Amino acid sequence: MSGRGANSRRRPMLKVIILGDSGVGKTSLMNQYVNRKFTNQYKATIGADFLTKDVEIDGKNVTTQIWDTAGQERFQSLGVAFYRGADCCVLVFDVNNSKSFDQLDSWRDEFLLQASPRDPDNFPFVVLGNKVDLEESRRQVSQKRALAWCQQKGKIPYFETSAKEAINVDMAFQTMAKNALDQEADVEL
Amino acid sequence: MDVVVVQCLIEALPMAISTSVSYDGRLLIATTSQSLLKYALSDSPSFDIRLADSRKDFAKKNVESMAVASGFLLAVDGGVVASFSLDSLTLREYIPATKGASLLAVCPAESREASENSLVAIVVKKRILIYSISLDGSMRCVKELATPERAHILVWLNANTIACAHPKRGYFTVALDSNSTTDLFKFNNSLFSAATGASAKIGIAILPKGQLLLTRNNSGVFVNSDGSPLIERDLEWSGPPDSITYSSPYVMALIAGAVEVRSLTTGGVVQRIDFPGALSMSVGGESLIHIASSNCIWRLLPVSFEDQIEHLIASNQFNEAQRLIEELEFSSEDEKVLFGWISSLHVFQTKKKIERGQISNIIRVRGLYAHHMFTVERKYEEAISLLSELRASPIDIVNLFPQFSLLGPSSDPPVTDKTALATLKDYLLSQRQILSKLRRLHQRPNNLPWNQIPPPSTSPLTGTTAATIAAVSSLFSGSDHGVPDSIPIPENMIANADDALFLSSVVDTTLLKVYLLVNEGLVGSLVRVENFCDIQEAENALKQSRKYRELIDFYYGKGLHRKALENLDEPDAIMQYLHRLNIVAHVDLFLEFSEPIFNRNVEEGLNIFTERYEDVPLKTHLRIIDFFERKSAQLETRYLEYLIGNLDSERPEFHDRIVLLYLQRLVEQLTRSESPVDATESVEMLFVDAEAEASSSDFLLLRKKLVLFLENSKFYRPERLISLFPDDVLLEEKVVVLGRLKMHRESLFICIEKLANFNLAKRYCEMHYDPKDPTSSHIFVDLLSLLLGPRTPTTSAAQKDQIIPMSDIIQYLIRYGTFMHGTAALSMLPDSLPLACLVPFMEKTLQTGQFSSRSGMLAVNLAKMEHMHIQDALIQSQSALVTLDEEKLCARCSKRIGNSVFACYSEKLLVHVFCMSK
Repeated sequence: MSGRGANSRRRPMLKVIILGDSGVGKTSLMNQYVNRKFTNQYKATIGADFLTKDVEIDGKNVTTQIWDTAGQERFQSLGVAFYRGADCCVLVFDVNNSKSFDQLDSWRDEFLLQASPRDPDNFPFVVLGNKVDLEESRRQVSQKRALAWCQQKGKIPYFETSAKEAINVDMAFQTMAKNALDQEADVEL
Repeated sequence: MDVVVVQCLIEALPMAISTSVSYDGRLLIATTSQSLLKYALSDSPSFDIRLADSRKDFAKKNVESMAVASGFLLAVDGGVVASFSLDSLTLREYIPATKGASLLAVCPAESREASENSLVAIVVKKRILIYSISLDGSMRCVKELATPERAHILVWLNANTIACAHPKRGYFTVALDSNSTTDLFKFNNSLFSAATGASAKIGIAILPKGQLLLTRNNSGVFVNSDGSPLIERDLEWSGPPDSITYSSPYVMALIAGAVEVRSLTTGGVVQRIDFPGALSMSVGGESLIHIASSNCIWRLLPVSFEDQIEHLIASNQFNEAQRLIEELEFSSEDEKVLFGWISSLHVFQTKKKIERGQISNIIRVRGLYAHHMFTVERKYEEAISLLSELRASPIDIVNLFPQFSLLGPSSDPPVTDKTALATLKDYLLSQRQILSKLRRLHQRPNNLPWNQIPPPSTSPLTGTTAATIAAVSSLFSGSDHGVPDSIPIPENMIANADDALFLSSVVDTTLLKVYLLVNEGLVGSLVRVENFCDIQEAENALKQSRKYRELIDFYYGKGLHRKALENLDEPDAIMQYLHRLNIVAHVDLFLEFSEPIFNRNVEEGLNIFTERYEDVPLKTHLRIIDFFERKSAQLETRYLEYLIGNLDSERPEFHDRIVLLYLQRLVEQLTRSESPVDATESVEMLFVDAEAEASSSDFLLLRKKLVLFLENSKFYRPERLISLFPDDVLLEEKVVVLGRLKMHRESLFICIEKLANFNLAKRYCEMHYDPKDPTSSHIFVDLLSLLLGPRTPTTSAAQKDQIIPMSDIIQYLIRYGTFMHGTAALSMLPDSLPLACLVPFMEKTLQTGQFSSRSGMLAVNLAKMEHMHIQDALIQSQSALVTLDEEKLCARCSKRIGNSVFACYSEKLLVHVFCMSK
């Protein structure tokens, strides 16, 4: 009895890791979500950094700890410890940059290797196609193509976002938190 | 375990030994019969002992205590100290002031300055006299210390402190400078209090780090030299020791005719040796322990520590072995801490004195211990973490698992424990991380940022290795703020790029196998990212586990596309695979493996070659064309259409080839069909720009395609193609090519004589008329002459019926008259033609003539006008007046014009003619 009481009082913490090529807008997305701020200035992230935000999911209070990583960093330099215990991984690409989309595969694979989840096929990922605010003519990755990829990788939820215009950002992170929570519940069962 | 072996020096001496002293390869024995025997010992080449000298009656009474100092022998002879020359063994002097002496002890050489005189402490009742012995042997009393009781045991702690023991009072120290006594341990308030009495056996042993072991009867306690107890340790002997001493790293006690050797740390008995009748134990020459009975003397030779360690290892006592090494080589705590980090740069900087041999010894012992833990105790996590702490090579750790071992097939059962495999997996992942950094480092040793290379002077190592190590260690610090990482690259792993690759291969290959056992879901991820898995091994492992999809991904990652494709048979899978490949680099594979796709669906097959490729070089295009040529003309056509239509290729070869292909197909269809030529009205549509009607036959559609192509393409070579056209069919197409060659007469001849298609001829003339081109300026006249000229004999009867009526010719004349040379046309007309018919033609021709002559005149006059205007302007300019005086300067060289020839610009600027020409 007392154990359960203690459990319910403890606010669950979700560790979320944002990955993607450099310059796709990982830091901007995080800032938009947590601080509701956007800047056009590009500043490369060094190493890794995190922000936390408390959210309510299905009536449950949850703290999300969002780890932003440097896209330039080659994956392995951050180390296993960094990825271990992640509850969700957000893969970000720039819809106006085909190469950043092509790299999703290797970001996902490297993440799985480092985080070593017990059930890699059902690990909660979310894919964000960012920078949809730019003009349509610059777009290189169609929604169809992105959706096809997500479908193929095990029905990963896909959102087209704009950190600048705050399009879909809240919804994406909300979905992510929900999926991560569901996954956790599954594991507990 | 044997830590010492016994060597007998003197056996069954016929006289009784009173006391003995050994120094520098000599052994002096004083007997109860007041004789002095001097033996010489040598250890090399082999042990040898012989009597070197002897003196009878060297002392007056029984000698109880002897010591050697500054080349002199001191002996307590009947309660008085006497000194003898060591070399000659002759008496130097008796020191009367020492009357009543019971004990003497020389201050050890290492406790005093080399330049100072030797000090000897002599116990005389409740006093300690300190004598200084100068080099010439003269002894002078320098201090007289009072002690609470007569010391039974006296030990020099340092040049200023003497520790004493008294069986009733306890242990105390006396300071030379202050003559003050400090109790180390007083019996009346101690745990010894129950056993007070003069019979109690007491002892003092000096341990490292200023600690002391005090014994009384069976018990021993450890204290600091200031008397503060070290409560955490205690020692119980098996009996009351007659004497105790410390011989690194053991304490030894002589107990009832036996020597007990104990470990200082555990207190456990390490070895026991019986010495029947042994009476005393002391530290003698070469710091060896000497044991004496009444007629024998032995000494204890320590077993070499390597042998001891081997022995411990052989009996799986790894902790003992390790402790032994630690006790032996390093006495201070911080040095011990360093064991775990032996390979870190820091150690080499600060602890140069630690020899590599010792370090490798420790590593070896701990490594063996880890192996033992792993294989026998099954403490997998601890073992692997110990090994990685020791910076063991990943190969060693992999070899712990017989199923992954690099040593080849083993009879040992595989390690299938889940924890073991999970630990191995984590270990391999961390190694992957280290190796990836290492590889990057090797890839670009010159690209390291400068701020990551510390100044070379701070490093004890030299050259590039030092810089590399330093750079490596700094790679792992900083940058990743907030991220616990920083696994330093072990120094021994920096070796070279080849080693790094080999280790990467071992690590990745093993990781793959581990994943196959513990988490199959990650196998795909591993083979898709950059990995160094051994190809053969990975192939076998994946095939065995039927991971075919992963196998294909693995091949893809390794660039083994042929192998991958050979393992695929589903057209869809092949198609997907080929879609991922670059056609330029792998055109051979495309050609070789596209067969099944073509067999299923030609469109899909073609798509492989035409989708998503840009910037494909000509060479590749030619390969593909060649391939299609052998496959089917239709595919070749389709591909050429793609090249020309979609990629806008301007290669004449392609354009020629496609024309040829169209032609071939048309001819083929003609020969196959009985009445191929459609109605003329259908032929008309060949040249209509409108979309082909749905009702049109394939044949006609193709013809239209060809005509369109011939008319629009600028890149085919008509001079080559013309000979390929048949003489009697597909003439419309031929006409287009002839037109391109400007062979207008031939074209028109075909139109009129062979096709009897006046409209086609007119259209042709309209298209090709060019008044500026001598070959094309008179085509309308040419056509007229054809229309009016005699029919050639070859003209068929059918065509004769279609002789163009004169009225049409007149219409033609009227319509195109302006593009004809009037007189040339008129001269051709048959005389029978009524002139009236020609009126419109004449009118038009005359009008045109007049128009052109009038426009000509107009142009002439306009030109004349312009000429006059210019002349006028010239005269105006030339009549300009320039005044020249002394001050007029040349605008160029700023010198006076004077009398030189000058020129004048319109702005009245004057320059020398000479300057102007420059």
